[in-house]
Amino acid sequence: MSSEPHRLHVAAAIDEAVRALADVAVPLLIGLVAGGTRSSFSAILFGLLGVGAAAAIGITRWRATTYRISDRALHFRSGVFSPDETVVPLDRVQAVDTIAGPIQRLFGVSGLQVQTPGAGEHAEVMLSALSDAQARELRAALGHPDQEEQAAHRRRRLTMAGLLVTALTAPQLGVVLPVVGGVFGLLQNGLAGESETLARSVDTVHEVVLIALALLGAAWALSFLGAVVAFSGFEIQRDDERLRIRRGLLQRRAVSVPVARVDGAQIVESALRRPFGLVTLRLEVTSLGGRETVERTLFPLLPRRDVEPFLATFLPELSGPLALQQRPPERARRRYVMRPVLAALAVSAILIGIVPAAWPAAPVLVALAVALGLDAFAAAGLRLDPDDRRVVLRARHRAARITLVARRRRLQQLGVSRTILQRRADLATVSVTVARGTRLAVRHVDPPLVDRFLVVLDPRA
Amino acid sequence: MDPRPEPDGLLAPAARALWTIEALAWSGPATVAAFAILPSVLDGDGIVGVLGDVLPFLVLLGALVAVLVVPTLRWRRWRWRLDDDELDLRRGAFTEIRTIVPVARIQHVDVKRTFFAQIVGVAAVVVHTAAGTTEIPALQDGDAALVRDRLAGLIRKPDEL
Repeated sequence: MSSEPHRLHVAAAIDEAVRALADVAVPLLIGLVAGGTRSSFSAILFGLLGVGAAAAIGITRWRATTYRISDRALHFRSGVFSPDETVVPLDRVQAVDTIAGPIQRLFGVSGLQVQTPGAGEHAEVMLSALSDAQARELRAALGHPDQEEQAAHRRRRLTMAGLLVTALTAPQLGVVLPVVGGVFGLLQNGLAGESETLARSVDTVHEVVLIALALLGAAWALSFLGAVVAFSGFEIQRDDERLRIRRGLLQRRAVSVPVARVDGAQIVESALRRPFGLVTLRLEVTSLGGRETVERTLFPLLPRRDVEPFLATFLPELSGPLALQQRPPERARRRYVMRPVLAALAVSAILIGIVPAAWPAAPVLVALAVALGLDAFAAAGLRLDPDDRRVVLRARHRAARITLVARRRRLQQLGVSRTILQRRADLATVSVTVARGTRLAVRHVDPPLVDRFLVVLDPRA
Repeated sequence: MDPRPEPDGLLAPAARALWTIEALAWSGPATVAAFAILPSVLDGDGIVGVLGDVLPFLVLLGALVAVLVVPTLRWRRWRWRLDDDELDLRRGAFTEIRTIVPVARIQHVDVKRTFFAQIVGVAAVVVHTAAGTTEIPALQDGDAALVRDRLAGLIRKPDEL
């Protein structure tokens, strides 16, 4: 590839213009509405001005953006008033992703996202539109040729039914909690002043429950749509040295990860999926670690019994038995139960303080807490086999049961901690950190297990 | 009991002075502000007035603990060790935390000197990995440079990121 600077495909100008338009959309709309009250002429003028400005911005940015390959590096230059030049050494390129959004598909071009090991906003270079020839040439120069045509030995797609179940069970605690918080607020406002008449407050309770259900339904619908958009056409494929993952309804995303850079995988059994024996697999890899969990999905939905065969097919490097070998001692059980019970008692106290009539909730909450604590105890454990090149940890984390399978040689950090209470009971918490900071801890283990943990996972071993 | 060596390196003795100065820098103004503002804001009869009188003294007590007790306690509990394969840290008075960072995972190393650290002649060694940063908060200037140079010599595996 020559070393002179290349411009992106002209579709990049339109891509930039649309972005610029999106940035000014709100002020523009306000302008339109304000203008519209006076005359339709000024409204149209406003609209044209906005579109014109966006087009000018798009073209200017497109003209200022160039890339070239030289000195064994990708040089990417962008910015109108203060041009930035990003230089990515070719041997530092971790992955090249193809991005085909609506604009790219309209023009039959594709975007390339070049992943580097750096962190933060300079972690990637985004070339928003390249012709097929340009993209092929650049991929080849970056050493990440497109092997689309190559026969895949191994491939798996998410079925339509799978997508549906994924979407239905998508709501995470993160979505539900704010709703519950909102309901609490409503309860407080609705009942604090009006508990004088019982009939009145029963009415209010009904209203609050209805609103809560409506909110929950809306949140559910949103996350359902989000999951459908994100995971439509999910497909994973294993070539010799790479995992290729494609997904997305509106915008097809293709990620390619070198298997050598995979640090581990997480088997996530969320509260909604676990009762059905379903799990989600997530990838632990440094180049994807900072992104949201959707982007790290290795496979969205899998029966639990299929996990080992799946790993054997797609990531043999991580495959092997997952059964735990070491667990916290029996005496740790009550410690697992104590914490949620104390939290439940605190919540109950607050609840009863606000709404005395809600006292029946207290025993229910405490019973729930006991069940959660026992479940967390049953979930916790490790598989530390000196002859295994992996380590397996399992624990409950934020209502989900998580099994982390990690390559021993690629652990980022080991941790052992002891609170004052743990020191008195001669127990400790052990943890491992992988990729961009995914940490999983197993609480309340015995000193001999701590020793084994430190010896088996010793970087010198 | 532990088959591995526990970390045994101490921080620079001047770490105590550094933490004392740092604690003074925020707790001094906080205490003055508490005595100057709280009694007039929380003024009145009953519980509010009592709070207004008592709170500043609680702030003072917290400041005294932070200035007189915490630095020594922290310094006494801190241990570190570096060998060719790992950085091993142990710290924490109430919750004891031990962290082991494999040298092979370290991407780069900084030596950080805040204004106060320069005054007492210490520096922090900050170790960056893909998973985040870990630091040895206060070593003698010369020791910090030695640790940095040693780590810089050890981390020469560009493909292992």
